[in-house]
Amino acid sequence: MTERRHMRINLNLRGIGFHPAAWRHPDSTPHRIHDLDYYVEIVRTAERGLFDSVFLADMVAFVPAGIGQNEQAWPLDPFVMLAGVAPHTRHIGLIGTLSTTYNDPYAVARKVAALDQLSGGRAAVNLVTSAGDAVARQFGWDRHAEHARRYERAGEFIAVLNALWDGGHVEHQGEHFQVSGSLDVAGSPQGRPVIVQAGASEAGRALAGRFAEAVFAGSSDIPTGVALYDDLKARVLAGGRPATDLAVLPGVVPYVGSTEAEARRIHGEFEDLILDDGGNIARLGQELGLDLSAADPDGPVPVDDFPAVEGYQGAVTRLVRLRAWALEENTSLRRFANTVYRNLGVIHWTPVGTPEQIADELAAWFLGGAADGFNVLTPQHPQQLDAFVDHVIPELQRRGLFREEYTTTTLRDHLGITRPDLSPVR
Amino acid sequence: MTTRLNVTLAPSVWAALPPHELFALVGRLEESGAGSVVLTDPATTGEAGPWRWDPPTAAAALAGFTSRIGLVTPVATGFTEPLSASRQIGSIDHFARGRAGWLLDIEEDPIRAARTRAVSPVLATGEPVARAVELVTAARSLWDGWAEGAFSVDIANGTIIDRSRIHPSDFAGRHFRVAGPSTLRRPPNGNPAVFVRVADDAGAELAGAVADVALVPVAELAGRAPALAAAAAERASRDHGPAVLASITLHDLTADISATAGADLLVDGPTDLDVLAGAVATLAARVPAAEGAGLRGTYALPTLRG
Repeated sequence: MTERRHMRINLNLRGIGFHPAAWRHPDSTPHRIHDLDYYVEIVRTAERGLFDSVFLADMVAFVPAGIGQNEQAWPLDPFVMLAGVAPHTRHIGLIGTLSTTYNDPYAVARKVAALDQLSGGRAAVNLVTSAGDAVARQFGWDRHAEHARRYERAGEFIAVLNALWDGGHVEHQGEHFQVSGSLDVAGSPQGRPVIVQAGASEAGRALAGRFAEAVFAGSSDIPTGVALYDDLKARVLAGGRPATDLAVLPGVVPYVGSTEAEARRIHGEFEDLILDDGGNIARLGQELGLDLSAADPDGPVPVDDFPAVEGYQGAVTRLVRLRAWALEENTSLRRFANTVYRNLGVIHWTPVGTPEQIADELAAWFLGGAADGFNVLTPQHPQQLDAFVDHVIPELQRRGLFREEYTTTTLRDHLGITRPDLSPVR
Repeated sequence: MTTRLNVTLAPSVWAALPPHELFALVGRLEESGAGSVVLTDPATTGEAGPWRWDPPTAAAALAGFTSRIGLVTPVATGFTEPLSASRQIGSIDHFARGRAGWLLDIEEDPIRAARTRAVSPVLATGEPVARAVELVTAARSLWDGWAEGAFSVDIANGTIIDRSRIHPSDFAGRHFRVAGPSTLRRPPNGNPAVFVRVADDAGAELAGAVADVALVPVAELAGRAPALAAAAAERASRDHGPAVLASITLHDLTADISATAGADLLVDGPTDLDVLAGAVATLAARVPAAEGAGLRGTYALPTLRG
């Protein structure tokens, strides 16, 4: 390589943080999660850290967690939040989530284009097809559309979306949409707003290969990260785009301390704030077909009793990962079970350590071909984001792995994704 | 009692402005005593762009650049689901600390709008008023699904919501069904105010059916306005009729202030923000006198609760 590439870093912003209980920590301010000021502060911190973008997921169905489980973030409308924050920032990209199943392309094109105008070319949309009948019932349907049908609609949706963004009169007669008109918002300062995707299924990856410019990936170790990375890049190339036109960003939940002992203490403090409803040990037993009712919650995880892979009827990948994890963590059964069943517990990778140690791990993923950068899911606000920005980012900069300043003004240019009008293949 | 003037901005006045100019314009309206500003949607009037904004994006962006003025936005009445509309308006209300309003408008050409928007024209045919009324009713049921105090951070018990104060809507109408509850915390206003422009019988009908605020043109205060407002109140299907608020609409920053406000407000020479501000201040001061002309009720956006 003649030129060392830089990592792309996105903040996945969840008002109460991603640790299931860190919002209960005395340093946290969960009562502020519906205030504009709170988000302006956080996004400005990420901008101080020269992050490429900030991302807001969404939740439209009311699915509360049980007592002691991960509280939901109870988000506001993501595009209202981003429009509120945009004029208080100058560089950072702004990514909101919208469903292709329960919106029409014109509404999405207009909303994202307006944010793009407001922010000077920093807007992106994370397109999801949504999941579950509970979401369907929020929009007048009894059942959620079937998977293949949703992705079929999503493909046509994005084609129409791009056509509207590209300007001029759009005449489209498709199976899902009939359009005859033009978008009334001016053309994008970045050529086109950026399209982000996160689905990991076969249909999701196929869609990403065709249209996505960034993917939030869920991998918890480097080998699975590499496999997903290579698969997605191959699909992009097969679709006629350069591989660099898709940024693959695995999620990471970093716990940062000035010493390893401090990082472990902080992580431990958060873990101890998880309220145990006592149900997770039983859930684990049920999943693995074990009777854990007599097991000591504060004793070790009975790894030897886990079922064998051969003949296992459940998810084998997960079984293997749970076993490896139990051996690696060497923690109590209670804490293990709580970690397994809390939100995201076994989806994202959660390094705990010093800025140097975190940077080592990020570098290993990045240089090992598992990532173009990272989707950082901060466990707690504001201290853990401050720690990442003030200590991990400088360490990455020292190693030449991250930008020293913003040298571009639009999200597309931050990510190094070809502008559509310059792309050789469309 | 103060009656606070509403200033309605036509698309050509606001929707193409760069952000800092829009913030300056609305900031001056706020300083001049306007109680609320309406950001009219170019899609409703069918005016061709290209524009820089859609109204909810602008209202959200204005939240952090204003502190007193009400920010009233439409949400594409014919094409928005109750859950989405209630979350958009409610989220702006949170960010603006209780200053959001919802302008309920009806697309002038629903069929054309439907084709442009890539949705089935069936959605837009027939009963646009009935559909709009139902949209608001369903949205209110979602806002009300979270009672006061439902968002309540309880560190000891590990919850940030009180589930006993959150209830589904199970709303089923002719045009919409929505189960609820919403994921949106109850807005500061509870139910953010729904504004309807009352310039003709159709407006009076819509206002009577669902409006919290009927916007009546200043120029009509001595004309048809009292009759329209009375008609709206008479048709009110809620337990009270809409409050009536005097409004001026700016179609551009020069001609219209004088045209709508009367000869004593003639603007001489090129209009800039100072002139506009002076005119709005003068008008805002005059409006209370109009109450004697038969208008009932006044309306100011409720202040933030909790």
